[in-house]
Amino acid sequence: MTFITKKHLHRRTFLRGAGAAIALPLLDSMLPAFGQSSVKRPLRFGAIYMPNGVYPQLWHPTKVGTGFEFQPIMKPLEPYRERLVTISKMKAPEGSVHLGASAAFLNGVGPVNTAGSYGKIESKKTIDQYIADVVAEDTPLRSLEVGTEDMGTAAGACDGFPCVFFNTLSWRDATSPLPVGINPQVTFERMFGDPGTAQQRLTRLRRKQSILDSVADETARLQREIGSHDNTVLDEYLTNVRRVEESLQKMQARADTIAAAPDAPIGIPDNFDDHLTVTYDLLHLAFQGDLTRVFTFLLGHEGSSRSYAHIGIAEPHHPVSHHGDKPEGIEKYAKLVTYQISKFAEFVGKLKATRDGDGTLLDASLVYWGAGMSNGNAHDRNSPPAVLLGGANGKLKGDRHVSVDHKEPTANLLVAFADIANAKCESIGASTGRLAI
Amino acid sequence: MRKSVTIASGCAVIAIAAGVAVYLKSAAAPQTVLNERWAMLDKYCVDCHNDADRTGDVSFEHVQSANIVKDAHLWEAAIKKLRLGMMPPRDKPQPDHALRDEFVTALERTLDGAAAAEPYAGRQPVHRLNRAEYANAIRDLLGVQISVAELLPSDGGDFGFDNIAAVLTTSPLLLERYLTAALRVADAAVGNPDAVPTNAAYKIPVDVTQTGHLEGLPLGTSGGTVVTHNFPADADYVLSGRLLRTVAEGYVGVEGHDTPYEFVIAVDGEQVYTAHVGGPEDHKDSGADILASRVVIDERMTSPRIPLKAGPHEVAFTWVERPAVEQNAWQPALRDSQEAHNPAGLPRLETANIAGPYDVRGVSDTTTRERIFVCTPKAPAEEPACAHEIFTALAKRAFRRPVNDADVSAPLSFYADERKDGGDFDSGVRAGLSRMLVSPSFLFRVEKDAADVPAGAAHRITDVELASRLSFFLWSSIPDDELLGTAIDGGLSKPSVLGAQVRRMLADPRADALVENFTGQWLQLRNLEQRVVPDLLMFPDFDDNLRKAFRRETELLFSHVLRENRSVQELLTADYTFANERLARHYGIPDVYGTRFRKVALTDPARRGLLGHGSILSLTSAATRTSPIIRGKYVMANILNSPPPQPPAVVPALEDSKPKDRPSTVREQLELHRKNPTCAACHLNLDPLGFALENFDAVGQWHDRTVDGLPIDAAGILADGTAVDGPVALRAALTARPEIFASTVAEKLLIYALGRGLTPADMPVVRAIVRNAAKDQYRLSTIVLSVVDSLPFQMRTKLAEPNALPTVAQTRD
Repeated sequence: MTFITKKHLHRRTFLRGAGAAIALPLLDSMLPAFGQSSVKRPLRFGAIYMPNGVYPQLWHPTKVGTGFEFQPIMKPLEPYRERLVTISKMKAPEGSVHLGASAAFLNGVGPVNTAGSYGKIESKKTIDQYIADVVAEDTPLRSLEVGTEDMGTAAGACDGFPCVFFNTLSWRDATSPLPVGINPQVTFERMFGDPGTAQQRLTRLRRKQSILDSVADETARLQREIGSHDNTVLDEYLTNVRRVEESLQKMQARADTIAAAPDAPIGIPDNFDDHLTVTYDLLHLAFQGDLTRVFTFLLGHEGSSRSYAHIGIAEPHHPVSHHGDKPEGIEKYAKLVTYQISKFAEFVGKLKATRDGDGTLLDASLVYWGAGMSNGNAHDRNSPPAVLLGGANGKLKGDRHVSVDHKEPTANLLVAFADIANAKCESIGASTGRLAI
Repeated sequence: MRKSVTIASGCAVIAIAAGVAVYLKSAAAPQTVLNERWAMLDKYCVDCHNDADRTGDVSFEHVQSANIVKDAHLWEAAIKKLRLGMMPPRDKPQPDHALRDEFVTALERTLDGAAAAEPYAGRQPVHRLNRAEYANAIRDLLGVQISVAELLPSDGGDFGFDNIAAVLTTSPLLLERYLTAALRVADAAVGNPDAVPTNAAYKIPVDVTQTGHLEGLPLGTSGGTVVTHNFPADADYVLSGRLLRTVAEGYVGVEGHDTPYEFVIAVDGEQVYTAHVGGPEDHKDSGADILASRVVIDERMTSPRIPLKAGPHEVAFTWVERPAVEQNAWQPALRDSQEAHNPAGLPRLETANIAGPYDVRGVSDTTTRERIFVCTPKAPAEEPACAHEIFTALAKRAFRRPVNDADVSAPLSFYADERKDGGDFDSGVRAGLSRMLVSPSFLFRVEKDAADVPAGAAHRITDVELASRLSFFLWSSIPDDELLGTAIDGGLSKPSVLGAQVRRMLADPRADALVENFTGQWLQLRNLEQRVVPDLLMFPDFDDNLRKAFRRETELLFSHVLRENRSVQELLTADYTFANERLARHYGIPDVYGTRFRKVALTDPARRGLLGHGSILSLTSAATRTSPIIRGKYVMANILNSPPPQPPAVVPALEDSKPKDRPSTVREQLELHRKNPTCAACHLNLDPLGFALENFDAVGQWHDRTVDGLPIDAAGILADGTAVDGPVALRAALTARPEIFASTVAEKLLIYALGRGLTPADMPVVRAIVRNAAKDQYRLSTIVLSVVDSLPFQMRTKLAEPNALPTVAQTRD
């Protein structure tokens, strides 16, 4: 167990009283470096999903092995070459053209939708959850799921599927989606509890625990009263009550982390760039404070119509990805993804700059940045981008471009992650083996 | 699975069954017609829809007229295509239309007859309140307004709506947020003298134009914002505004002001603070030292501590309006702020802040507290009984049913524990209330199977359950005392009582929830905020004021048609609309002034009805141009209720569609893909619907020519062969058979009302609702009443086996 007791920086005075300026709290460097002494360094796993694909000709290096050349879109990651492995020529699962691409990202399956499944949401447990099984230990958040937009607030059909598939990368089990949270303030409160003094935070935490305890009893009582067919929903509720109870218990054991909490960000920033920055900062903070060891980050949902006007692209993301093979269209498409890679590179830089045991947080991490398709214009499932950052505690050697044979399924890469984490998952989705990385 | 219905006496459900019976007797026996016409299938359909090709995954090769009910899934889909004249395709041999219609009618009558004999009620799982319902329930239970999007994650959804029981799952994230929300709501409702000082920042989006008066603010003011803020205690608060600085924060925000502007803060309409900002002095100082100047301006725009009572107050942050000439503002576009510049020479608020409480003096009575504290203990000995009374009253409303001691035992024990820990009476009530708000009886709508009916049978839900179905349908909220009282007394399901309650509820402002949530999803108005971001250079006038006006216009039309008992057709044909000055200017309608929306006549027939609304026209456009395809798809899906299939995964390249040597129209660019056989099958039906609206640009303004000066060609041939040449002809074609649009609305409303997707077994109910409405000029209110009267709304099917949900095929968009 790790306690974080000292603060390296004074808390910023954002949102404190009337004279406050509204700005992004500087969430990085708030918590002292985790484990100055040589405690055991746990593996951290993160998966980041880029919607609408990445133009493969401007992404995949041509040279295979070490010392490969960085293509323009991946270029911002070049400073981290020593901790970077990129994989090409894999094959991502087919399925519903957009929704299927992200829904299958971490389990190789996506929606399990049969005639008999009317009224049921079903997929398969995802790899991040297999990894959480073995690495989460006593971290308060077994895993953390974040995003920047969701389909839940949008109306209209979700390509004929329940919209949750658009909002979810991570499934705890076949019927328990873990949809992303898009509000940084909510993510912050999941990490540190409600705002207030340290004492008030703890009081609230205890109140929540006793509520959960009592609600569990009441739910069980209600279940006995109603027909057994209707118990599925309440079963799930009860299960989640227990899960949150467990999480709060672990959080209580981290009283000092709660006390060290920086100021919370307010709401969802207007500016998408800020939204990305603050979300990455929270993920960094969560790793640094050992509040979670597993995250998934949905940069946008598939088919996203997110505007990137702030970097000079007038058309929304999805139309940009349908570039029609015209040079000016491809240029915009590449520019958009390059921007996302540069935001990712900032995050990687922070992991690298953060000490963790006798190394850095980057050394102890395995962060997978990828997409469910390569060329978005054709929703092409061949050779999707897959770049891994981090040393995975010595299990991943960097500076390599791995080009696989025979369109090996991306599911094989997921099996390789499980292997690195010692998670119990020998096959997933359409996997045919373990990809050698 | 489906067995005979057990129908209680005197119920409205029978009215629809009886309606079917009358209609069944009205013509020749359907089986005879079908047998006579069966050869039509071989002649016109089987060329494509055979076992080998299975075009569209459909084969009529071995279907039999005796199996229509068994193959309902296939036939219901066929009915839809045939009624719209979409099959056989235009370029294939056509049957005689009268014979075709006779055939379809016979199909419908066969299916409806079977449904009348074996009614299908369906069944929803335990139904979690969605986010909107949670917020409304809190409002109606406690009088507390919460900004739920900040408290709870979104709900996902299915079948186009976010109140679908089957997909309203829970997750650890949601649970955590329910806890957080419960504690915060209880604080806000009871008041909290121990609240820590916090700063609530209300940010004004940059695309809200602030150069004129804004709705909700006092007349004589210009720009700013008004917020309803819940003050936790009687205490001091500090209120402040912050300027938008612009040019990437290199400015102070007072540059270029010729004379000072008067900044005003008002609470519930009373001015509490004022300051002068801008003018030559401030301008000079900002040039001398930006950082120092910012601090000075910020301090000047910050009130001293102001004593305020607990509870919700409306706080306005705004500017005193000056005559336009004195503003001396250069305004190149209606929108006042472009991305980086603020050229108007006017101060612009970026954020309004409310900080506190400081120096708490207690919590005085608020309307919210009055709702909770139905008794006030005068002596300590009275406290336990009073607490019991308080929680009993709250639980009845929160759980939407009569309650007993077991229901209040948990809140009471939280109350008792808090008292034991030294908390006062208020704290105890607060603790108990927060516990109640996480109770499954509050968060879930639970309906119970009747004990005395056999498994597999449909049975009436209880009147108390019906009250909840009604209130969640019409109000997206809990029943009020009158509705619940009527239900508990046992009279709600009497048709006359039920009808009266529905009419009362529709007239109530809470029915705005039906307008907002239903149109927000059916017509996708919710997407305006996130997805309509027109290119700033091409549409420099577009701002959030206009975006909000778009939404408001469409909501007001729907509300008018619903509440004034108008025909649902008027949604497409209304020769009036609802506009304020901003919207009227956008449409070129003269003589509409101010921010208030009012009914205005539409002299231009092109503008009439939903398809002339800026909301729909902008929702179906790209950032820089119109999209006839998206518009066509929108009309197919939301007006005709026949969404096209997804495009193939690999879209053939259309590189040469755009001539390189000269400007081209969107239409020209699309011609090529309509020549491609892979695309043509759908796009021949899809594109003409969109082309007909091509004169409306990406923000819904009318043009005769494109930006390049090319004439706009709005002509096309619809799927059923009708020639159209613009919005007027399109509207005429879409309303030629009123039952089609009425069916769309009926089907969508039924999904929304039930919170489940419809199956083929539900389609006879939809047709009954439409037939009922046809007798009454297709009034929207009649459709709503018929939905309430319908069998699936008033009944549910008791299941035989655990977890054995009906395995019928699904109809999803």
